[in-house]
Amino acid sequence: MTEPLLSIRDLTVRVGKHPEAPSILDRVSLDLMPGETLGLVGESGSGKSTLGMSVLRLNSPRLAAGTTGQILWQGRDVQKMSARQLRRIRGEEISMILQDPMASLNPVQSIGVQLREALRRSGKRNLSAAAEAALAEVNIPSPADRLRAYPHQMSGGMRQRIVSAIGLAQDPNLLICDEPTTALDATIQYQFLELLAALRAAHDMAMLFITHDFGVVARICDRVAVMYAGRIVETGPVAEIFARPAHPYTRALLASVPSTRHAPRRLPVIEGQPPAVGNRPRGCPFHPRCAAATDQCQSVPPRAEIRPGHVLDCWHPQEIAHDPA
Amino acid sequence: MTPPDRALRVVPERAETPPRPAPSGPPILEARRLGRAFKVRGGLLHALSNVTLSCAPGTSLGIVGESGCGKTTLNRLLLALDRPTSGEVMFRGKPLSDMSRAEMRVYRRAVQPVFQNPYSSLSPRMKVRRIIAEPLSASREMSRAGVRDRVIEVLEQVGLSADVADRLPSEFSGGQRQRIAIARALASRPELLLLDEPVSSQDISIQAQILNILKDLQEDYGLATLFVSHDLATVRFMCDEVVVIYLGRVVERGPAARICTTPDHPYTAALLAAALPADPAAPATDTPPMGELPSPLSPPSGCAYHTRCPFAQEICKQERPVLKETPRGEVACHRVSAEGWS
Ligand SMILES: Nc1ncnc2c1ncn2[C@@H]1O[C@H](COP(=O)(O)OP(=O)(O)OP(=O)(O)O)[C@@H](O)[C@H]1O
Ligand SMILES: Nc1ncnc2c1ncn2[C@@H]1O[C@H](COP(=O)(O)OP(=O)(O)OP(=O)(O)O)[C@@H](O)[C@H]1O
Ligand code: SF4
Ligand code: SF4
Ligand SMILES: [Mg+2]
Ligand SMILES: [Mg+2]
Repeated sequence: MTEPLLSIRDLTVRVGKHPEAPSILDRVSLDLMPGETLGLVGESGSGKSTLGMSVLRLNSPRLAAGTTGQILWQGRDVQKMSARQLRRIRGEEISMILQDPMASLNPVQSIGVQLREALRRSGKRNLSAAAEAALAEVNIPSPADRLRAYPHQMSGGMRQRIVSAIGLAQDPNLLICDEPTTALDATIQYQFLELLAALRAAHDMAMLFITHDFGVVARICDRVAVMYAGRIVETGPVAEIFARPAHPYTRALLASVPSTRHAPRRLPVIEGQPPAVGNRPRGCPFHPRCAAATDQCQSVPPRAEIRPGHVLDCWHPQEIAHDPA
Repeated sequence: MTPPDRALRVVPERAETPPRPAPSGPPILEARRLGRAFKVRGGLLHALSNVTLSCAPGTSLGIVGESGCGKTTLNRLLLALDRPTSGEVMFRGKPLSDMSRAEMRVYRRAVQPVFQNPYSSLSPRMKVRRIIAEPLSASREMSRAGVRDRVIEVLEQVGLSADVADRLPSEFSGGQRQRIAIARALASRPELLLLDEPVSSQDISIQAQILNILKDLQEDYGLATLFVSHDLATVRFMCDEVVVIYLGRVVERGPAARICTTPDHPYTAALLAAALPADPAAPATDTPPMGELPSPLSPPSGCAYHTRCPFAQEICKQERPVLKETPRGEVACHRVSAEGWS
């Protein structure tokens, strides 16, 4: 069997070193295989970005101090890497695309300067031609002219494609995408996802795709992990999770998404709101909002694999088929 | 190329919302050939051109289109927060520009806005009670006890308890703040709510809660709504009728269920394809969205959509298609006639 590219075991991230400090992530475990795209889906504050940043050790010193558990990148523990090893991995082996492309671009440098720098680091020769080819690969029209442009002269969709071109310059094995399409129009999101799927195939890379949008997960991911209040509550192959979600949170969330295909009289809703860090309920964190909750749910629920690869943490899994909207 | 009539039939229809009672009475608010051009460096930017629509009692109209297509501009004109450069906004059949101060006061109470961002739309230093009562203060006929009761009443309508009234907006989450903003809009017993992306900044579970509250208001109180959104799925849930705008012009109009299943205009079809269903088994679309929105400062000639349209022909570059009536609604496309696609 192939080894996972990325293997996270019992990752807990607290706000500070104190063992009682509130946790942002709570014993998160996941595996990512080479070439695989894993969707990390959850509502605001569930800890998705913190998880993505942990992989590259980009969290603030306070969170870094409160981090326990293992993050194995190709078998090596990221937590134990030297600054030099870490620099090599960032960019060369793992790249990241963020929601706001401006955060990754230097506003006072032309696109060409930034792209050539990324290509130079990856040891490419003939940088101008390579830069033009890189822009063409992300479907930027008249790339030669665009190399002279500055980030603010481009649309949001174009900037996101340029960030991808820079991120891919060093041919990484893993691309972490943190809500790269959330700020884009649906039409531009659609095209960007198509582009990412093509790039993923061309570069043979794995992706960790962070989003709060189940439509995006359905479109681009092989597997999905659903997060709630700092935990992965359910994970499995995309087809399986959408057809037979078994965790009450996943089921309720999927049911509450409006669809263009039908209009129910009312949307099935989850009452209340996601808990804030430091205020998370004990046991199953979803219990105050869960329609299936019992007293048992005040204790940490067991983990079960109900079908191959389909794992969930719940006292009362709901084994009824879901009707995708 | 795929035969267009097949290409545009995207998905089969499914379970349907029972039709709401037919609209009664003359329109509350109308836009007549409404236009707004902004003077900007580099010329005139036509943010909105020739938009005609009407909001009748008890109906719910959706306005959809990409970012920058003119949705907020339209909303601001309808709220008299901005003035049109052509055309008119009419309230109960009378142009806003001809109305007296007293008539404007009536209009301001009858037509209430809810904006996208509940952080900037609620004054942080005012208690919730005062925020909600503010639209009532203009009317002298209401007693203090009457105002107090009304505040509690509208808080309940949005699912909040009375004790919320004595707290500050900063004590609430984004979803609760949006409920407070809706309660404020309801205080003056409006006939029409103008909602500009009211759930776009909310979490998924909170979106569903707020959409249901708005649906209750539509159905239980017969409140008319105009719902501005970039999301077709939300519009399908909320609205009877949909107007699709591209670069400031109406390109298609029709019943929400029809627009979301068998769109006539290629742009509507692209928007529909872009509304990704939460279903990995959904069939691939024949009409994927292509290209980006051109600059509104120099819109393409003829049909402004021709630069992105998979069905464009020579005529599309030369002549702007007029908005025509069809048995299915209205559409502005050279290739669609009353009989369908050609
Ligand atoms: N340095 C920090 N100190 C304290 N709390 C933090 C810190 N960083 C993040 N948090 C909290 O941790 C929680 C998870 O944050 P994170 O950004 O990972 O969530 P997310 O799932 O990415 O949310 P979103 O969808 O809004 O991006 C949030 O409630 C956030 O306020
Ligand atoms: N005050 C203004 N001065 C100049 N141009 C403006 C002004 N207000 C809006 N515009 C332009 O008018 C066009 C329509 O803008 P509008 O805000 O109405 O779009 P929108 O559909 O609401 O977009 P979004 O979905 O991003 O909210 C845009 O090109 C915008 O830049
Ligand atoms: S463990 Fe209990 S509260 Fe948690 S999701 Fe399962 S049934 Fe609901
Ligand atoms: S008029 Fe022509 S370019 Fe415009 S939408 Fe119709 S077919 Fe496409
Ligand atoms: Mg995040
Ligand atoms: Mg707007």
